Amino acid sequence: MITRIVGIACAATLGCTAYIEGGVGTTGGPGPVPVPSTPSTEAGTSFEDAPADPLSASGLPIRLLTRVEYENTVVELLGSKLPATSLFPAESQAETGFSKVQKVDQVGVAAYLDAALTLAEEASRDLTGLLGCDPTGASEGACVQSFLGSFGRRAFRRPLRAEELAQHASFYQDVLRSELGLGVPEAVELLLAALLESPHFLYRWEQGPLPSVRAGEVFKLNPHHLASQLSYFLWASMPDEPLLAAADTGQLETAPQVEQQVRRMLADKKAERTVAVFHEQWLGLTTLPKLGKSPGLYPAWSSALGSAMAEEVRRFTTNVVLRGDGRWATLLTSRASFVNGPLAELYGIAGVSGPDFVARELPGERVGLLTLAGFLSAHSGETEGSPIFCGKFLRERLLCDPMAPPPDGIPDLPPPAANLSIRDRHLEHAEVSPCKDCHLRMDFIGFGLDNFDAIGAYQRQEGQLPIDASGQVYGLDGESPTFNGPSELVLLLTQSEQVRQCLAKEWFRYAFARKEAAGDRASFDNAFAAFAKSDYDIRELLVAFAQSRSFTHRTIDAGEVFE
Amino acid sequence: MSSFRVSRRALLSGLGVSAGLLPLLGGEGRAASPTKPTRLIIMAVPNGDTKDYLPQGGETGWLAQPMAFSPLKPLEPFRDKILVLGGVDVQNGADTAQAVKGTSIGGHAILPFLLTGARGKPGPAIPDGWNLSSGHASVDQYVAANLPGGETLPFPSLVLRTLRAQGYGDQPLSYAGPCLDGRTHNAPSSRDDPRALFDDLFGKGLSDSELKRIRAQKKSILDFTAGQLSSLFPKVGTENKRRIQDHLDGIAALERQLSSVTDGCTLPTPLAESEDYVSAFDNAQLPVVIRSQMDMVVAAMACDLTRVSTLLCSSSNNNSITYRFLADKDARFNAEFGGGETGGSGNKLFNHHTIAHNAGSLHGLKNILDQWYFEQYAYLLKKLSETTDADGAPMLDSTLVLYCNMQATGGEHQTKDLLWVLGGNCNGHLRSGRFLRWASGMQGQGTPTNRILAAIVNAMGCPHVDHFGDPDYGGELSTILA
Repeated sequence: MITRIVGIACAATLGCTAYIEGGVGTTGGPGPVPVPSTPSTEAGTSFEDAPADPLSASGLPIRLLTRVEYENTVVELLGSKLPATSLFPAESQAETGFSKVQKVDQVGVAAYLDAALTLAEEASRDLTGLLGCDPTGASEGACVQSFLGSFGRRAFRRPLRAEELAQHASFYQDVLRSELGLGVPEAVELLLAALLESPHFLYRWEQGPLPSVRAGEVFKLNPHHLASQLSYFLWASMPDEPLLAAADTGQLETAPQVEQQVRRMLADKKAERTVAVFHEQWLGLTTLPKLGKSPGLYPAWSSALGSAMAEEVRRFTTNVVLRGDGRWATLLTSRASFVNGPLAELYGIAGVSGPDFVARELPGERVGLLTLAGFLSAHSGETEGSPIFCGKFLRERLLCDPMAPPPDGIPDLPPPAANLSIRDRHLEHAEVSPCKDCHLRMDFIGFGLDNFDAIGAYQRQEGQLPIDASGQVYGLDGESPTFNGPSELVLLLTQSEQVRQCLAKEWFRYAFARKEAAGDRASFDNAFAAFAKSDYDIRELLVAFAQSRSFTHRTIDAGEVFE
Repeated sequence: MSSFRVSRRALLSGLGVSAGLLPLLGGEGRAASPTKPTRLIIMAVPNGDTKDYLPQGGETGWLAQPMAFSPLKPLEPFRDKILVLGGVDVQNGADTAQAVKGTSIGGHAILPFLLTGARGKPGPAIPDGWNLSSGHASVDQYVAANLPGGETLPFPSLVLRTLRAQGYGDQPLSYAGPCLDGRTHNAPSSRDDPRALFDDLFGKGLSDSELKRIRAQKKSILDFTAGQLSSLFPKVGTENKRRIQDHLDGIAALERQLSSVTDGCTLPTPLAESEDYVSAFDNAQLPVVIRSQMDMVVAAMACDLTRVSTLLCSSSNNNSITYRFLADKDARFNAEFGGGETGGSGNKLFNHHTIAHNAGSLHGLKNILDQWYFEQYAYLLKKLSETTDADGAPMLDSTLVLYCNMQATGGEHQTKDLLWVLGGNCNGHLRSGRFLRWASGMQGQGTPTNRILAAIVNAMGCPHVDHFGDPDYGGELSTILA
């Protein structure tokens, strides 16, 4: 059997699905399994080249709650403390830069089940409180039915259909009570666990009694599905009662109705979660407390300091985006931050001690998000700051310019020496081919942050050597402007249309849990226009995304069947 | 490699059985298999090895190089039980990179190619840009899916790893098949914590009646959940069907697990609760974690809970593991490094990545570290030789234990001329006790991994394959087979 890999030529095309896997040749055995190609829009026109068709949309694959979403959801659903989620299915940021659950297998099923049983045991200690009625005696059946109706609606984020109510009631009565012979408390506990183990709870794919409306090849999401999309986007959690009620009563149909909900939700404290999760994942801060820093060079470094840095970014970003003017430029330039004792010491701010955070102005050498210690520490080495790491991040996630991996035979950086600055040691990469193809574009941005060490402390000199924080941003809006120092670098980024577009794409990928595709062009452009019109207020971008056709509609999947 | 339709039918018929009185079904696999099971364990050390320490001597009776901390020294006692292969090339990975990117690949990104044998394509867009995927199942998952009698095992495979890295170094070793949606690695969940593994394998030490009661309850929920998923299945599109099928397969596997019995097995000693033991993610615990994982794998295989396991030791770019516990061998492992060398990432602490990058200047440390990993491999061989099968023979005789790595020299990201070791006798299918050397190197002709992987599939007793992965790299390496 011949297996060929086809389609190498379309390597540059995102989402190319025309490959056929290399097979295992067997004599008389089954051959390779063909991968069904997905006739989605992304296989053809790219997002960049796509026309802005106001009637288009893109696919919306079912997706599992992320660990953060699961935790927020069970807290709101049950008020429980969190179960262990460490063996939940792995999450990858490979596709979008933001966490997405990969797939459920044996280990994941077991972990979900253990979590469900733990939560159910805890929640059913107060049986009457959980059920809202007395489940004993003659009222047992009615009480369980009423619980399924009310709790099921919140757990599944939609009302249960009549046949689902009957199936659950039968599971309770026939399997748990009769077959397993459980008493009422245990049976209720397992019924609750089954609701939490259900795909209708774990997957965001709300198919309620209300139909989705089909218009050609595009679907308008049914109102409960939309409500769930909104709440996981803006709150990283389940819908609240007003949002569910709006979906129940047909009040989530028009753009103004959606906008009203979105603005209400953004004003809610729960919106801080989304702003926090977005920035934590976008800026690569998820492992901040676990980073290793040289104990000899950075005795101040600890897991607690790393956590404090992450907390500062949370407070800083939520303060600007949700309580301040919301503007992208403010995020990049504000000095209004929040520090605790150890952070204040790192920044050289006097008069703050202890673990609690207080609002403080950052010192003059700092300017905005990219000079917070958390960002700088996350994109440094263990012994020194790294122009490569910083530059690479800014290049890829602020300029949307992905870097290729290094080819073979890249020489190591020259070792540290008293007469060589970090910059000196990096210049070689930036001069030698083929290294310089990428390192010119990365390192010369990163040099702008050379005044910060591996844990983000400001240094005027590097040992005895002066620091040259000048640099150049190759290929920014089609030009290659130079700068000197962090302030000028940040100013360039603040004024760049390319960076604003990139930020909008990053938010799109977070909001939709997928990359932008051809069918999203009109939705993206409209949202970006609203963003621009508001002088780049991030909240307006989120409001516009939530109302967009790509958010409220989806294409029909290949092989999908409708009732 | 079966299609979802086949496995779905299998699942639904399985549910029909278990929906009854929930009997404990365990032991069926063993009873139904008249011959001794054949097992596969793969240990991968992504930054391991340089060709400097290939054995001395000829095909038989080789000796470890007489050097300080000679890495292969720990394997000398097992010389008759292993095959040392010098000159293995991960050619499929290098060729993929050449075709896709116009440059041969960096060794750090090669994990998707190490055990899959296939030339690939652009893969998941890892933020770092190391986005290649082979689009093929790895040999362990292929064997798990095709091993005669394997379908009844409670654990189709145990995929273990220690201390994961972030970013591009965090690729999996084991793959169930092509990328999901063409974008996400289709990798089975990997387990880190040996204590959680013990609970999963051996039931948390509950009494039989308690275990039976809890399992019956769990199975009732799983049956109900499977019913919900099955009713969703026909409605959703092709991509979503795959997700749901994965979930259904996971439920079916868990139901088998919940039916397993470990009567008559010798349970391993779970890792003790101790103040020192912070977590499986704690650097200092690495020696304890690796050995405990090995104990669990051997015990699980002795009980025939599984026949396939992989153990990925860290990641190819993991700068977060330092080896302070080796300070008794070289004080530099325990000291802040103030010298001249640095790793490619500006990191000066002594982790495998940095050391591999500086195989010249940090040569001594490289030997100590690689020797330590070979000691762990030797521990696994020893454990298998001390544990007996039902017929009283050492389990090492029925097991194939592959030690593999992917970078001959870390600094140059060279993925050719590697040293692999095949331990155990695989029920008489391997011609052990030899050292085989192929001319290799960047210009030379080595043995593509494909030929070894095909030999492994055939030695394991799976339906015979003419090749594994891409056929262009040749068929089974018959010289290693009996």
